Amino acid sequence: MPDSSAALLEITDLTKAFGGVRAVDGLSLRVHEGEIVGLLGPNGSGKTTVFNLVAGALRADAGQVHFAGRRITADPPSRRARLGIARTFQLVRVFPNLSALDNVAVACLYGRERAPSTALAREKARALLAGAGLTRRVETLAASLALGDRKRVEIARALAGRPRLLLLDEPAGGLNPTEVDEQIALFRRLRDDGITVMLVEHNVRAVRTLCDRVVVMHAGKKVTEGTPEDAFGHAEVVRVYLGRA
Amino acid sequence: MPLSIFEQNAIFGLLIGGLYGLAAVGLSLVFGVLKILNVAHGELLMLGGYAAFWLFTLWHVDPFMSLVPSAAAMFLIGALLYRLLFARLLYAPDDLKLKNSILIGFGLSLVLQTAALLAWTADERAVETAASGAVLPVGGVVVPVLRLASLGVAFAVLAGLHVFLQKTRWGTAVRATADDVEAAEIVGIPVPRVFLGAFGLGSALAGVAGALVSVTASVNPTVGLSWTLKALIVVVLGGMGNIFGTFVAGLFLGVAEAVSGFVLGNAYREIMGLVLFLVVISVRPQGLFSRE
Repeated sequence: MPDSSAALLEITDLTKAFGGVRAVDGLSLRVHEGEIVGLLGPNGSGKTTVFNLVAGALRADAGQVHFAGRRITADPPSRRARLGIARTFQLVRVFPNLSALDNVAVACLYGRERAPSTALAREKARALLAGAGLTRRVETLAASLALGDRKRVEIARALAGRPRLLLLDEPAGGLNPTEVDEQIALFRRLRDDGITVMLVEHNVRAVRTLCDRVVVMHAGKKVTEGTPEDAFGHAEVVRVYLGRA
Repeated sequence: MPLSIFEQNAIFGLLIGGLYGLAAVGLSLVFGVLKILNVAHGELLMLGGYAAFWLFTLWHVDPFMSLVPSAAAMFLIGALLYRLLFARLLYAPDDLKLKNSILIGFGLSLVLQTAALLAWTADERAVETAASGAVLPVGGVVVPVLRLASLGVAFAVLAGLHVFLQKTRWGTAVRATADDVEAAEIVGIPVPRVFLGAFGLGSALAGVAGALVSVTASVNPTVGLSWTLKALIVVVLGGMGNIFGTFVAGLFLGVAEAVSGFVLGNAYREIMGLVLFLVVISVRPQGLFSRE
C-alpha cells in the first residue's frame, strides 16, 4: 500500500447531490503520482460529477479534495488549472472561434507553466499540435475541424499548461479503433513524462491495456477498486457495470 | 449640382458612421464576452463626451489629447459599475443574465441621465476648437477636418483593439472567454477578471466615442439612448464578434441614414436604420459581414 502522503489527488467522503439525487455519495479515493487510474461505472453512476468536483466546475456539498497536499475543495477551476489539473470533456469542448493554434496557445499562457509571451506560447502550441499530427490544421478554426481532430486539439490544450493531473472524460468515445490505438500510445507516453492520468472510459480494451488501477462506481459510491483484471473479474462489477447477472 | 450634394451627404454619413462603428464595437465586446446587454452604453458615451467638453472648456485640453486619460477614467468607471451592478449576474443562467442586465442597464441609464442633467443642465455641449470650421475640399465636395480626424481616430482605436485581441495574453483570454466560459476556466483563465476587464474596455471605447461625438457634433444628458440604439442596429448589421465587420456596418448605417435623409427627407433618417435592423434580423440574422 503506497504511503498516503504520496497521493497526488485525495478525495475524502465527497458528496454532491442534484435535487434529491446523490450523484456522488461519500466517495473516497486516492490517485498516486504517475498512475493511470480508470473510473468506471454505468451511465449516471457519478463519474463525470467526480471530474467536475476535482476540476472545480462544481462545488462539493460535503467532503474534501486535496491536490498535491493542498486542500482545493473550494478553489475556483482557474486556480486548480494553475495548480496543475487539466481535463477534457465528454462532449469535446474546444474554443470554436479560435484557431487550433490559439486553442492550445491560450492554455500555454494560463496553465501551471505560463509562457512568458504570446509568441512563445504559440511556438509551444505549434510543437504540441505537431506532436498530435495537426501541423496542417494549425490555422483552422476549431469549429471546422473533424471530431477526431477536435479531440486531439482538446488533449493538446490540456497538456499545454504542463499539468500534473490529467482528467480524461471518455477520450476514446466516437473514435475508430486505429485512433483508439493512437490514443493509448499517447497516454502511455504521457505517463512516462510523469503526468498522472485519471480517465472515464467505456472502451474495455483501452481500460485493460492502459490502467494500472480502476475504481468502479455505482450510484455515486465506490463498488470496488483494483487492477483491471481484478475489477472485471469481480461479480458485483459484472452485474452493475456490464449489466449482466 | 445635385450629384455633388448627394456625394456630400454620403461623405457626412461615412464620417458619422465611423463613430457608430466605434460605439457598437464597445457594446458588442461586452455582449460577446459577458453575454449581457448594457443598455446604458450610450450613457457611458455621453459621460465621455462631457469629459472631453469640460476638459477643453475649463483647462483648454485639446479633445484629441484628452482621449487617453478619459478612456482610462472611463475604464475605471466601467469596472466600478460592473463590480457594483453587473458582477452579481455572473453565474446566472444565460437568459436570466440577459434579461436582468437589461433591467439594470435601464436603471443605470436613468440615474446617469438625471445626474448629468443636475450637474450640467440640459444644454447642448460641443467642443469648439480652432479647427472646428476647417474643411478640406476634395473634388466637388468638402470634408470637415475634425470629422475626418475623428474617423481616423475611430479606425485607429479599432485597429488597436484588434491587435490587442489577437496578439496579447489578455486579448487571447478575452477571445477564449467569449467562446466558452467553462473551458476558459479549465485552462486557467481568471474569468471574473476577464469579465471586469472586458466591461471596462467596453466603457473606455464608449468614452472615446463620446469624446469624438462632442468634437464633431454635440452631447446633452439624453443623447445616450439614441446612441445605444444606433450601436444595437450596427451590431445586428455587422454580426457578432467581428470588429471590422462592425466598423464597416457602422459606416454603412451612417451612409444609409444620410442618403435616405437626403433623398426621402430628413424624417426618414432614423427610420432607415430601424428598417435595416428589421430586414437584416429577419433575412440574415447572423449579420451582413459574418462568415457563416
